[in-house]
Amino acid sequence: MNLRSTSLRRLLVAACCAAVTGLGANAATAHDANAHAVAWPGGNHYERSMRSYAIPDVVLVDSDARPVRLRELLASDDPVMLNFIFTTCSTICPVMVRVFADVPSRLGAAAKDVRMISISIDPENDTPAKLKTYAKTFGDDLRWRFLTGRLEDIKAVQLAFDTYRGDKMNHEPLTLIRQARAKSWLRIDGFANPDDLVREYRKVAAQ
Amino acid sequence: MNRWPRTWKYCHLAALMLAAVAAVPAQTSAQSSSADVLDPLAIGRRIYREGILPSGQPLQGVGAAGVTLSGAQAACATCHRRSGYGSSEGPIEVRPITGPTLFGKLPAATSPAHANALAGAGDRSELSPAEAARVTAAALRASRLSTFAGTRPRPTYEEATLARAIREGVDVTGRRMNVSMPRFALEPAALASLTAYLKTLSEHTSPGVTEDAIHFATVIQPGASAEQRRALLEVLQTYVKDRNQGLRAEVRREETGVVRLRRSYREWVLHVWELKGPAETWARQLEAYDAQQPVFALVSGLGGESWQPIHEFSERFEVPCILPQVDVPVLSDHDFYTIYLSKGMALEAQTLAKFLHDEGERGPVVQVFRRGSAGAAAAEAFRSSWTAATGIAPMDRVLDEVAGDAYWQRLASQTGAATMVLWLPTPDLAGAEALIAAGSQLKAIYLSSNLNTGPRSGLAADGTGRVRLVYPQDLPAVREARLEVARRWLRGKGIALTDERLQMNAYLAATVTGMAVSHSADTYSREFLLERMEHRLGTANELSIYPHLSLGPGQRYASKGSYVVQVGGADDRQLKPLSDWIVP
Repeated sequence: MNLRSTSLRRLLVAACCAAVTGLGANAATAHDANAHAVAWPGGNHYERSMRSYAIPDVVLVDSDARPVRLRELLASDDPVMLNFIFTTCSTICPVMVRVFADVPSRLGAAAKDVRMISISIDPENDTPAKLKTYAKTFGDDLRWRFLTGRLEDIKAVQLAFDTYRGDKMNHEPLTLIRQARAKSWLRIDGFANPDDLVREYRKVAAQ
Repeated sequence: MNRWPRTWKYCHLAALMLAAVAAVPAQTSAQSSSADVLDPLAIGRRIYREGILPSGQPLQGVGAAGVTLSGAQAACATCHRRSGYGSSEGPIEVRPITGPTLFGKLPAATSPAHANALAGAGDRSELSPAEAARVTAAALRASRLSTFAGTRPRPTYEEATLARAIREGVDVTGRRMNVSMPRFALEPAALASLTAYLKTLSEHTSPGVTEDAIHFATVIQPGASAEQRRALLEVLQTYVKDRNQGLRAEVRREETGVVRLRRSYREWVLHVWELKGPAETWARQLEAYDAQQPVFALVSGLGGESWQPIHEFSERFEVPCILPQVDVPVLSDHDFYTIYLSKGMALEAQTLAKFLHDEGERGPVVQVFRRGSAGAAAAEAFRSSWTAATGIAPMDRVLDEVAGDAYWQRLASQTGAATMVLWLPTPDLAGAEALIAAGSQLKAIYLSSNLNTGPRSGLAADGTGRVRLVYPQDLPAVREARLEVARRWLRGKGIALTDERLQMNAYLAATVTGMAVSHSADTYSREFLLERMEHRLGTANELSIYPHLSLGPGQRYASKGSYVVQVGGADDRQLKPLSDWIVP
């Protein structure tokens, strides 16, 4: 990526964020000078909205095969960052996971509070053991948990977060950020880079 | 094959890459050896498939969100896939980057004269009438195909424009590419090797595809019984006959220009590759069959013994093998060409270990198997899973005699209050009722479904509740309702339902192959066929004995779990599930 395009992109991202801050559930429609050249609406930036979700009462499994009651996990006193991935995904997930992996080091002292959660949308293939191996390739971080579960429970979770698209190959890049003990989530549709994510996280945490 | 008048015949030639059943040299597909290091194509292939640079360092690219991807994640094949035909994921469409799509080469030619004519340089009078007709048909079809297939015409790449695309993410028209396409700071030499490889990528139609026909084969190991062989072939041959009968109308529709969905118009030809003698000789037999008539893919197949020789043939000669019916598949994380129904005996063994562990079972477990059999593969997998889970190894009993009443009585008295696992086929279970006779202290006995597929009797039909089956398929009541459509298809074709599992698996393999061929449109690439399957399997609610099937990029085992059920007599409807669907 050359410098010029990076700074251009940052500028556009900033403009887009500024435009939508405080707009609540309305997703912004971004207009990128290069929009015709990219498949994802808005290209390298993202759309943000505030949403409330009813978390289903399901028991998932972490990469150590320990049962995890999702509601309890999300009811924690810490802020939460959540995304959906699968380990054999070739296009979207490697980016989503790489971004998560880069977040803690950029958060500085605040990193100790954050919890990151990646939920597999291909649970029959992504066994706890596979998730463990996958997690290790991105650095084993104690603040970051990978979850899998029964097919129907994983579907229920995707439906609850309005990210179920019928088939895993139809999935879209999505990150959710929630303040400690808060009800609503900041929904980020699209690819946010680690700096964007840290900035969004700080904004949410400061509310 | 020549049932149609000549003009019709050419209408159903797929044109984009016309002819060329060029003999593709057998390449070892996975890791490249050091001997390849000097060959630019091999270097390019390694960058493309594995993301490894000539220096041995991982390829790095800056992708979406400014993230640096490295090695296999940055490899071209990760998104564009091995075939180069691309893929789609959510909002991202990954464009094809095969040699012909990038560099706009015309369809691969069958002869130098043909090549000249295709390039517009030659004199068509050099061609035989058949060749000239072929060239005209190809040119016509190529233009129509681009509209059918929805391909957006774009200028062709040259080395400089390709370099700009790879390094800076600017396409041949000067537009910025999707951010998901990483930007790669490739050295000139590496770039040249990659470009050389891209020029060859999916350059030819895969072997086994001629102008009129697609050849398939089904491989049958010598251990299959005459009834199994007949049941398999009846389903496959009927499917092929059915499909070919539908061709006539498709050709007519295409000729009148009203086709809305591109389909494959070649006639299917099914060959039966029967293997004989010991497993060491199978590779040679397969190569001989392949030399006689190359096939596009192997469909279904039967094997009670290890599938390894066939699996290795598929890898070496790059021949897809679609859902063979085998107990002992090859377990691999990186092999490409064989898609299995499941992990077979290993799946049963891992399921059982997880089930017993979750049930809190910590007492002695005794497993009985014959050396060198499918049961031995299960025993090995069970030993490994059980030991890992509990820290205690199971007790192995190798059966090396004809097990009669006396054997089983002795075993029952020796084992006491243990859990027993019999990785044995039905004939070996004769007399095994002794294990549950009065006075037996055995806690429970587990049997394999894969090894006991026929009518159950004796121990396998026990009604006392102590005999269980590892059951890697849907429960009978659910299955029956779901498979009614497939059963009706069999009835309609006059095929008696004699072996549900075998016939339904054959039907599944045939229909899934048909789906993938249809979805490939006129793209006859073996790799693309497999990639279509990776993408599509499980999304069309295929009729199968399994509750759900799914694959994904690189995944090769379609059904991933199993139930454990309790036997309640000989009747399958009396099976009682003891577990949820377990995915070990």
